[in-house]
Amino acid sequence: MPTSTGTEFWSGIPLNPASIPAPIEGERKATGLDADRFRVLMSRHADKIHNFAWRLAGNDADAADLAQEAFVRAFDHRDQYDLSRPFDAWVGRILHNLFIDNTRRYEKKNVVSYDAPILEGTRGLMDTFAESDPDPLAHALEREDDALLQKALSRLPPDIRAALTLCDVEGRSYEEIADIMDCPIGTVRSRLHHGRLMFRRAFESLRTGALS
Amino acid sequence: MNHPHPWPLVAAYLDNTLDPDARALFEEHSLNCPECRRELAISRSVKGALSRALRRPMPTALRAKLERRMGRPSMEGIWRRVLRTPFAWIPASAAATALLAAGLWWNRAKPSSEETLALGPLLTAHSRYSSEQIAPTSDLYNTDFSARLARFDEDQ
Repeated sequence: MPTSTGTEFWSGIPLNPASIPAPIEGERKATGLDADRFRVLMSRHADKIHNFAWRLAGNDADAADLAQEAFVRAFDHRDQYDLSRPFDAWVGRILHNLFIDNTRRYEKKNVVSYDAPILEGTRGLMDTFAESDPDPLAHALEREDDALLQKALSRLPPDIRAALTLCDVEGRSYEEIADIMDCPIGTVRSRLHHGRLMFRRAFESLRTGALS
Repeated sequence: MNHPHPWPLVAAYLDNTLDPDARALFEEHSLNCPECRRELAISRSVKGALSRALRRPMPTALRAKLERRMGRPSMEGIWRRVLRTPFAWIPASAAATALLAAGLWWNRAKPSSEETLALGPLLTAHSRYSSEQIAPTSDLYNTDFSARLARFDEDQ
C-alpha cells in the first residue's frame, strides 16, 4: 500500500518536464500570465487545489507539499499557460502529474501491492472486488465519517483515486477529468466504474475490520 | 456475467453523460439485469458518500507562504525569463566573455608564490646553516629547492 510518511514522501522532487503540460505543437494560442494575475487566480482556486491534493495524498503534510509544489511549478511556467483553458484544470493537471510521478518513484523503492490484504483477517481488494448486495452498506456509506472514507480512498490505485476525487468529490465533468488526467474520456468512464466498485469493497473491508 | 454486459454505461448513466437514446436503452436493459442494477446501486451509494466528503481548504499559513513565494520570483523563473528574452544571449555572452577574460588575466598577472620568495635572506641563512654544520649533511633532505639554491650559489 502506498503509505505516506509525512514530508519524506514528497521531498526532493526533481523537476520533470513532463509534469508541465506543454502547448500543443502547431497551435497558436494566447499563453502566459503575469504574476499579479497568477496570484489572483491562485487565491481563487487554492482551496479546490488543496482539497484535490489532500484527497490524493491522504494527510496534511503531503497535501501541503503537493499543493505548494504544483503552484510553484505553475508559477514558474506561467508563461506557458494556455489562456483558453481553466486555470484550476491546468494546475490540477500539474498536481496530478506530480502525484503520479512521486507515487511511481515511491513504489519503485518500496514494494506496493494493491492486492495485498487490507487488514488482518480480511481478503485482498481484488479478491473481494466482484461481490454483491450494496444495500447493507448503502446507509453505512451515507453516515460514515470522513476519515474512513479517506482511508478507503487511499487504498485505491493512484489513477482511480484521482478519477473518483475529481468526479465524485469535486464534481468535475468527464472532459475536465480527461484533461487533468491526460487520458481519453473512455478511460475516465472505465476508471470511475471500477473505482466505485473497488471503493465500496475497500470501504466494506475497512469497516468490517474496524467493527470486529 | 453470462451476457454482453454494458457496464461502462453504468458510470456514464449515473453521471448523466449518456444521450437520451443510450440512456433509454440502458434503462431498458437494466430492468431485466440484476447485475447492472446492483452495480448501479453500488456506484450511486459511493458517489453520494464521496460527494458529501468534507472539503479541505488550504491552511492559512500555506496560503500566506505561497503568496510570499509568488511575490518574489525563483532563480529558476528568473533564468527562464532571461533566456527566453529575445537577444538576451548577446549581453549574457558578453558578460560571460568578460568574466572569462578577467579570470585569465588575474591568473596570469598574479605572481606564483615561488617567484615572490625573498631569495637573498634565504640564501644567507642557507650559507650560514651549511658553514656552521648545525646538522650533518646526511640528515638533510635533498630537495628541489636545495638544488635551486645550490645553482643560485653557483651563478653568484
